[in-house]
Amino acid sequence: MTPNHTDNEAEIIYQTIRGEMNKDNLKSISDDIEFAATLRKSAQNIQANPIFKADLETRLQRISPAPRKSIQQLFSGFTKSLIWVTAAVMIVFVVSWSIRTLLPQPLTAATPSTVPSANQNSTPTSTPLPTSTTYGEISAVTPVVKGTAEGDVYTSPIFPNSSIFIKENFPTSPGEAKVYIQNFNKENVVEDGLALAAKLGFSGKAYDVEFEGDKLFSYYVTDGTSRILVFSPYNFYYIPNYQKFMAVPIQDTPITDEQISIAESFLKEHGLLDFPYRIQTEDPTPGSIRFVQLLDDKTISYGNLSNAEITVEVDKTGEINSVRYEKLDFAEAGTYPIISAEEAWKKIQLSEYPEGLDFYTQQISNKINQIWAREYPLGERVELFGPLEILRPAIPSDTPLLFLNNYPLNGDLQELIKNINPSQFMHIWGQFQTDDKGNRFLQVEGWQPSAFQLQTLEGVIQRQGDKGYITVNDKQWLLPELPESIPSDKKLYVNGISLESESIFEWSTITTVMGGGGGGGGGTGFIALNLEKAPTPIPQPTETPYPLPKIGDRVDGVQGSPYVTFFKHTDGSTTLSAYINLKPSAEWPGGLTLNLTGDGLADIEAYHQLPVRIWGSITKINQSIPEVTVERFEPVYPGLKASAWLGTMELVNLGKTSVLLFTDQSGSQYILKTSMESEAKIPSAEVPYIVEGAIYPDQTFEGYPVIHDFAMFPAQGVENLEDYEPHSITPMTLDSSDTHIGSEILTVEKIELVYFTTDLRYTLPDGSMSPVYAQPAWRFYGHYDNGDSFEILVQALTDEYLQ
Amino acid sequence: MSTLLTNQIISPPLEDEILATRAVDDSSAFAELYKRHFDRVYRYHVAHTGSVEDAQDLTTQTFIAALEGIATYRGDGSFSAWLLGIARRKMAQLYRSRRPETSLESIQHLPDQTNSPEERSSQNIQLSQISRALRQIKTERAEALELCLYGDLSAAEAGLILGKSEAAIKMLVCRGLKDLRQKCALIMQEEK
Repeated sequence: MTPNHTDNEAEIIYQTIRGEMNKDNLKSISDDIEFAATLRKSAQNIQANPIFKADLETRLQRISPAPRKSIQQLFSGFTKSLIWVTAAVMIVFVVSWSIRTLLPQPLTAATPSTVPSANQNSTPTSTPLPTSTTYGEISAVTPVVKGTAEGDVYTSPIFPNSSIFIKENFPTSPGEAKVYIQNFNKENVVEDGLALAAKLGFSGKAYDVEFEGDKLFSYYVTDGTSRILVFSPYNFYYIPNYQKFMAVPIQDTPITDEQISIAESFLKEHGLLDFPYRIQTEDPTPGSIRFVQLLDDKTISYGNLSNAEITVEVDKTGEINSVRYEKLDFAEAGTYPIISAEEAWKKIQLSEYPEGLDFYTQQISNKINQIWAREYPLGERVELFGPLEILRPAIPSDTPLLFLNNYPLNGDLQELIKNINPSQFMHIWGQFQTDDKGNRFLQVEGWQPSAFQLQTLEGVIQRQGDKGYITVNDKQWLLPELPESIPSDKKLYVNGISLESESIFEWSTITTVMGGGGGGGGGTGFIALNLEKAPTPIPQPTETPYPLPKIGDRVDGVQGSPYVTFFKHTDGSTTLSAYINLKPSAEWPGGLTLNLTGDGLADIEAYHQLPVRIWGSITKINQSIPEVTVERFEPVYPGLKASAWLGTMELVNLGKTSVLLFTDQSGSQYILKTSMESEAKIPSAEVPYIVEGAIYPDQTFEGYPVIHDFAMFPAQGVENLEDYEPHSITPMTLDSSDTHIGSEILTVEKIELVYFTTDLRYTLPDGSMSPVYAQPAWRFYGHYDNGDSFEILVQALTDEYLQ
Repeated sequence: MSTLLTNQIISPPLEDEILATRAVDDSSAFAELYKRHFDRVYRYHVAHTGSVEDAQDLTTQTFIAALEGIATYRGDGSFSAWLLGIARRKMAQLYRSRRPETSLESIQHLPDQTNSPEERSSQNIQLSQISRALRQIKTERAEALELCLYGDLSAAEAGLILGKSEAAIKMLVCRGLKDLRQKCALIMQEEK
């Protein structure tokens, strides 16, 4: 394991890497910071051959950008109709993700169907378990408050200013657990996909999956009605009726036992549920049943609140809508000692950046995105607008398949295939007919690249008799053939083409607003395993390179500019957060951030970003940030106000320094303070700028007054600041329920041992990967007080088996 | 004050976003994006591949893909991060097909009008060492360093690409830098 680093050090090194730290301001510079500065300089000096640069620019000018894609595609993550697009993007993510494993890893066996002998020989089971481990200053799991109604209360620097309730007792640890190696599933060949289709009851052909002009390693098998996106025979996405799947809204009511039974029976009947599993009940996915694969009766987790699982969508009529299938295979690598759940919890309490830990939060989805696709009359001439989808055959002698708005196209399409690029926004006309299965296809009579762009209208639908309308910006649009099932009591997004002269909006799909669903995580990830090497001593945490104040230390007349933020809480209350950053000094060579609190802060918001002196004492240290209980403060420059200026910017050399000279509308000139502290750049030449900041009365640079600039914005077309409302001069107000910033309550509802492994859907099984382990990890799962869920995974193997 | 101006001011990356929006049918807008972001893309590829030829090839592919896909840029995040995400994918595709040797002689052809020949020589040695060393440290740390240092992304932007929090990226950069310094020292010893 690498030594721990302090937050301050990481911040300084990061700032130096980014060129945001002037190392000359540091009296004491560590070797790492010096090296960071050298790297920064080296990076800045890399210049391309100017001929190449100019030549590429010329080449780019000859290329036309792709046409704007539909709004649906722009927001593909939000619409069901673009799951296939999303899938393609995922595959590219697979490619990009693979870089982590492709580049620096040693070349080892591609498919470890047998366990590497080194692992088998390591005889880990005889290794004595560590009797105790000390993590930093914490030697025992100690709740802040014990035995409340909600459980014991803890704190963690990962969730600053939050209280964490643990409802459960820490489970009795098994003391040891197995480690497995994930066997890569066999090569993805078209024949397997065709056999899979036959197993699922249809006879299809294989088609390439492309992205950015590259053929990807997965492929489709489809007969025009059913579709399978095949990653491997053990990893695929099956949709029995693609047309219906795209058109039917997702179920917004709880899954019934009958639907679970239907999904389970389907999988078993097709031989797809031949491994231990459980049905997922946490964080239910609307309309879907999740079958989680188990290993030694434990969940196989990918982190990020996701598991190795099969997801089956069953509609209200009991029909299978989709199956997202995967089945993992493992070989045993040995049995190893593990830390207890209580010791894992210590790591969560230790540091904001602990190694061997990942955490993730998921915002609650309070609305389900729904989509209605337009159904056109049969046997009448219709006109469709939409992006063309071309599936090119994996076997060249087969013919491509074409779709528009998810409807198959039929007819003489050779010229269309030859002349039109995939995703081209098209205008195609013809007649809808049905095939022998009752599915619709468009018999094409003519086509042309569309003269219209896809638009999205947002609003509430009004009904007048049997007609439907939507009004946007006082203009009313008729929505032809609007089904009665589309609600008229809520805001919807209507996608289609506007025919201005006729006030008709030729809609193709209608979607609801997608709410929530975002997420984020942290931690520095799991440490690579060290199963083959002799146990190594556990490194002790290093000393803090820069001193920190101690609790009880006085702060008398310290000068800084407070950065104030208001947090609005779910109960309507508001709290204030204020920090000041002290520049590196002899006393604090690493600089210092102070969190300000206390009654003495009253009215501090009037001095947001303006210099003040503060008096108080250190009463707490949280995440290496001392908290000062402020007794009083006073402004350094009484009467100083922040302002905004409109003007132009130029880069000038004054003395030996390159700085930004700002000339306002009255002709007054100023130097921007930030340009004196870091590399000066003009973001865009010949564009006016608005600068927000303050001018300290006693500071000049080479005779020019200095603006301590808080923010700078391009202001093309702005002629004056009469109606201008500065935004960096007053503190921000954040909604703490959205940000997970500020005081919160977290409740751990489940503590369990799981197997953590890598999701190989995001890697390339190309033979260059190291063994992918399934290793034991302690999982702490629960919810924030606003309903969002979280998960913390802590590597459970003892330290000697980690690199 | 107009609504447009309000939006411009509230969202700092909006300027790139506006250009990206216009670039769909305005080649000069993309040309401006190219000028602004060329260095970060090129430096990122040089640092990772250690080859001028590969870096030029990948830079070309990156910008062509960006131009072809400019309509898919949603404008709800950093354009730099979006572009470097493409750069990263292009690099992965290159390494999928082959594994380049660590040959950095060509890096000595980098023009540098600002430094003396001695400084340039020193810089070349450093760059070759750095590129080698980057491949010898943990991949996540190397990627965080490459994106922040050569791609000139903020930790938040790099986090978008690597799926990590801003704090985690800073820590990866910090740890990566320490690893890199050790590896560079070893490489210098070997080269002596």
